[in-house]
Amino acid sequence: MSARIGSFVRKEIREIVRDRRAIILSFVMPILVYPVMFSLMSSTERKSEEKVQQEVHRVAVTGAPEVRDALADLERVEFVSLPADPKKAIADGDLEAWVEAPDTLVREGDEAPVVRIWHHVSHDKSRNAEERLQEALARAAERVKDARYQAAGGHGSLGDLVTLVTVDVATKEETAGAEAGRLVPYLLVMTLFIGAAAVSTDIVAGEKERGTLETLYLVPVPREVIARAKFFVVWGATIITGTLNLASMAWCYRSGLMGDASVDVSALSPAGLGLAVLLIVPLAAVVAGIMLGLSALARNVKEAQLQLMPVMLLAIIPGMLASGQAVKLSPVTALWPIANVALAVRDGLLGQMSLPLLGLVFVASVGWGFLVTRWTAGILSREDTILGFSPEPLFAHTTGGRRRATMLALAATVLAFFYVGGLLQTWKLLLGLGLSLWVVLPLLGAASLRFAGSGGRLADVLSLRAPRPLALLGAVLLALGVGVPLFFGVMKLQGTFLPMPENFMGDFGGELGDAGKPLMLFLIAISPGICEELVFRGVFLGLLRRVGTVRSAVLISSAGFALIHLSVFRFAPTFLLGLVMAGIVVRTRSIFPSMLFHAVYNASVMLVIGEGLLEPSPLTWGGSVAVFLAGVLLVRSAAARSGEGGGRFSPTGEESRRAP
Amino acid sequence: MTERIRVQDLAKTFLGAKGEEIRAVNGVSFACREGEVFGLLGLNGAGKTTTLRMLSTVLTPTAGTALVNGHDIASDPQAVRESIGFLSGTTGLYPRLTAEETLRFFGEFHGLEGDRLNSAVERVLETFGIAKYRTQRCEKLSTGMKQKVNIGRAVVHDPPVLILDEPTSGLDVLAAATTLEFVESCRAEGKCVLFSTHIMSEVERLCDRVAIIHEGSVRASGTMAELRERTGQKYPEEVFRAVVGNVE
Amino acid sequence: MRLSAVRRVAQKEILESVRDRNFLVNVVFLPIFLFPLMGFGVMQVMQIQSGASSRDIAELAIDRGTPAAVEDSLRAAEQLRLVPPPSSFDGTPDGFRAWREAEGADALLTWTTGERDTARLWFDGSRERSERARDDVAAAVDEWRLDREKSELVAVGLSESDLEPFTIESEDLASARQRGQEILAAVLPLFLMMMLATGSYYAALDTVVGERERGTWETILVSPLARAEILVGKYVFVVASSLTSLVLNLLSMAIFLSFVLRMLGDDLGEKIQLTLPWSAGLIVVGVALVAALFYAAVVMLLASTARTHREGQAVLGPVYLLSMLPGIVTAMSQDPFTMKQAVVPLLNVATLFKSVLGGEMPLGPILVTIAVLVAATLIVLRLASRAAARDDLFVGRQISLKELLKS
Repeated sequence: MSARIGSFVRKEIREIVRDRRAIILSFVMPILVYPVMFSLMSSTERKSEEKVQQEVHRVAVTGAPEVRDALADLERVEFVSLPADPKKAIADGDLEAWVEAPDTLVREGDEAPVVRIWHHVSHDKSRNAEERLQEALARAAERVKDARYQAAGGHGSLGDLVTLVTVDVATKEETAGAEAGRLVPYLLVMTLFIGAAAVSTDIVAGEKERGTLETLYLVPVPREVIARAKFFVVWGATIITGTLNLASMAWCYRSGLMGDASVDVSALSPAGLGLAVLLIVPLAAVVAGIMLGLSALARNVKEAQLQLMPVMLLAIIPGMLASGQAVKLSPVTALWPIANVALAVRDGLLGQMSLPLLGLVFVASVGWGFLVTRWTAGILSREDTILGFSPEPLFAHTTGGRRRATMLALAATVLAFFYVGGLLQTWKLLLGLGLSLWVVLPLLGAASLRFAGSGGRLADVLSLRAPRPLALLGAVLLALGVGVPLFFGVMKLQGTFLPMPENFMGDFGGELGDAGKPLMLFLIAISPGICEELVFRGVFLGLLRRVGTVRSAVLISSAGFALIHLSVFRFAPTFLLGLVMAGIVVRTRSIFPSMLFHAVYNASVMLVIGEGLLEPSPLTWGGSVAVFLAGVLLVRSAAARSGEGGGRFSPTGEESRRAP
Repeated sequence: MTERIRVQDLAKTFLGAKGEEIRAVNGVSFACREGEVFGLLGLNGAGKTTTLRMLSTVLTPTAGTALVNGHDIASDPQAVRESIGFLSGTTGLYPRLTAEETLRFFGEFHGLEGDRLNSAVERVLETFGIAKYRTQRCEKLSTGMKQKVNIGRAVVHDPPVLILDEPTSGLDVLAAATTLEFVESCRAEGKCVLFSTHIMSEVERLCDRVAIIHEGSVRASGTMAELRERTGQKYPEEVFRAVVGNVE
Repeated sequence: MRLSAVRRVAQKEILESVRDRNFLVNVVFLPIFLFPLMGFGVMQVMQIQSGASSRDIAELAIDRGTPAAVEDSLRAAEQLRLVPPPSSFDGTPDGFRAWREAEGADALLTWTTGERDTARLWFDGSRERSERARDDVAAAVDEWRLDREKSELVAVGLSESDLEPFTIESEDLASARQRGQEILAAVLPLFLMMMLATGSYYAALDTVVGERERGTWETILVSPLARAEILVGKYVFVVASSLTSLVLNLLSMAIFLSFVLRMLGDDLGEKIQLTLPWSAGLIVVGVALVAALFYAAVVMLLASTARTHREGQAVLGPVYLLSMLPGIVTAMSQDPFTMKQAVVPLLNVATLFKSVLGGEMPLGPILVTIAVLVAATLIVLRLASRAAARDDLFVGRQISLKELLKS
């Protein structure tokens, strides 16, 4: 069997090698692009620096002679007399700056005399002049101070009462590694994707377009063999592109084309580069698998590129985590796909290599590669992908089609809400918040219902049923009990591996704070309680339950709900809240308890926890958990009484549509 | 004579835009023997291509079974593919590979190696008169030459069963003639040829027996003479029309 | 050439592309959703980094000679922890490294007292954490020095206030609007160039190569339209799509930028105002239109040398990348907009954008830029019409650019 894979691989390679343009586009171009781009950038930068070095600045100085004298020895400054309207002259670019000093530097009262530098940041020359004058004036202040000190009988200068000598022990390799580590990991991830995209489009979508894929699948070998052969070729090509690009980048650094000119980057450590090459191998497997699988879903080259582009642009974002040294390679981050290799390459270039962690990165990447490859192999053995037709229209009126339509509607709702809501809130915060909750979100929900709905009574889909009073009481108890565990438990736990930046939540509350409590309560508690519930627990939970299991509906609708909160730090808590609320709807068969829960929870966060009125203590913990459990019991018993203990929900007429 | 292909109630269903089921093939049955050219006649969209793709195991049937050279298409697709040569308008050639490389790779894919591979490739190159063009890339070949390479590609492993799906569509007279001569030579070699077409002259010239397929099911089958007798029509076109009814 | 015929061809192209999912995704969906989404992703990454960095505590050892005041202010530093100094330290970089390896600390401060004190800080410039420790130490040392200076001044009979003979205040005459323009001038030119390129790239590929690939090229050629009419109709379409993508991108970028500004806090909104004067807006739009005309002509000429989509991409890909270069160069340079730049196509566009967005509108170079672009467009269009008249393009033979230029 391996011999057959061999001949498949040889066939693919021969085809690629014969395609000169693809080789130029995917291998040669990227390698040339870096040197060209970076040399151009650095030469432009150097030129404009030189220009600044030669610039002569026109400066007017008025006031105390000490200041004028202190500036007199500045080179490349042309001192001009003050024009009639100095501010206008500066704005017009006839004068770079005006140093306005008081007539005497003798202090009057508490305030020190003020020397002003008038300038204009929109004019490059004025900005450069201001920088130089700042420095010169600071030196002048020191000199005036020393002169007074010496006049009063002091000795020497005050400035060197203590001298701070800094000794940088970083070796050349380490400095170069730190400099390269900012950019190389990210660029490496990007070039891997570009290389894999070029080859995988040709090898699957291209074959489909040329009509040769069907010919190939007539051959008497298992389809997995063909899939595997194609994967190996894309993998290999990706490794080659990655390595060549790495070499090109290393060369750029060594020859000084890339990186900070003041840092000697000619000494990138070979060990770090070697490690990068080693890590390219498993990462290339992940990347090749993703690109190959997506490309297999397309019917022709054009479609493939269209599908690959957004995925590619979004997938390289994790690589940016390595652009600083703050995010460490840890047993947790070593498991993240793509980001782990970027972080490891950064550390390798720095010369910090921990073998166990590197091993973990390698193993994790191999694992991800394996998972992705299996997915790819599955796609490549489906008959619809081989023949290039879709066996079923994307949004057919079948369970699968409805599911896809619902998922698309959910994604579109999240995106559109982010977009339109953001726009409205930028315009006017409070009104925008109100409009996005009361107008935008309901409209999106209604559109989703129209697009993905499959009939059935609206009240059934949205769970608009009168709840039992017990259920309402239970929801209130749950809402009151969940705050402490969520804030002091989940958020804190999350903080240990995903620390929040400081003042993350602060600014939002600050801006809303002026609104007054009743309005705040309406906007932050009542409106989300009604509108967000109607859309996420009403429309999406309702639609998703009709096309899949209750469990997946709860999970997916909660994920959508968490995503509209638009922050990686708020995802976990809002996801958990979503689960609780979806659970309430499923158990009580009514959306009203979850609306009540949402409103009460938001209000309690705003009035109690947000104000810092509650501190974590055994008492608050115990009380919260007790209240929460009481809520759970109440909601359960309300469910039991309405005869729906199991929570599996099947409105009449929809049962037959569910996949067996 | 041994039976090479036996098709029993084969069916294939796709889903339409509204989720409705579209029965492309709806319970087709027929059988072909060795040394026989069996014609599958039908209009465009009658289900011929889907049937043949199921027999070549590129598609899996929704219902029914078929044996090709004694192998079940559902349970042993690989053995099926080993014993067939498949050619259709949509089985393309790799433009950037040369004629010889194409034959060589497909020989290898079928498990031929060493001397057996060499002699198989040489035999095909010679039989189809493409030896002169062996080093030319397929994209540079004329339509006729391409067709010859494509036929060669399908038979390089000397399969006992040939499945040809409208092999002459889009070809010029000479290339089409090459194809038809090839079918005749196959019959002479005792191979079983399953051949789909909607060109009646080809049917007259080649087919020992035919099945007329319409809207996914076989409407009539037998030798041409039998069908003439049954319908009372003289010309094949008339026979065909009588079998499928007046479809416009 | 009949205008009605041209219009009809353009209409057909637009109708076709509006019905093409791929085209819509590229020209409409990507600008509106993907770029903000990416910007959002990048913001998340930055927040994760800033969160991680707030947890990243540097360890600093100080020796016994260090004044207590310095030690106190270092103790108060937020991201710094003081650790015991090494029991023996030979004062060499290797000695420091060995101690660091053993203790896992980041920096070491030694202090020699005398008439003039010397503080010596050992750190590793390749580690961000160590650099942060250096900054904290420098601040603490400065603070201590100021205290010493004060007491010295008092000792010689001067007052504490002599510590600062005068304060320096920087007064920026630029308005919030001009500051906003500064940002626009820095960000927009590259972005505008990219969007002009992206829009015409897909449209040209689809209308020239796509038509050939779909086999409809011949169908339209046998219609009683003059080849020039077909060509110009397609050209109009490419220009229109390039402008559409430009406008949509600008919109989405404006929304995203104001979103970011709001996230960064409200006082920033008072300092920076993202608006353009009408005159600048008109010039930018006008020149963008002319640039789109030029760009579309170039891209169509190149696309006509290809038979398939893949070939088209192989030809256009490098051109696409190369056309980014003027934008990059302009973003990095401080050169004013003069005749020198105005005569180089594309470089003139990028420099003009930067200059006009920044509030400077030199009339001469602007007019020259427009003239150069129009002339270049006419030349390229002539080449393209010659190319369209060639029979080998009709039969779909791939021709090289050299061949095309020779004809």
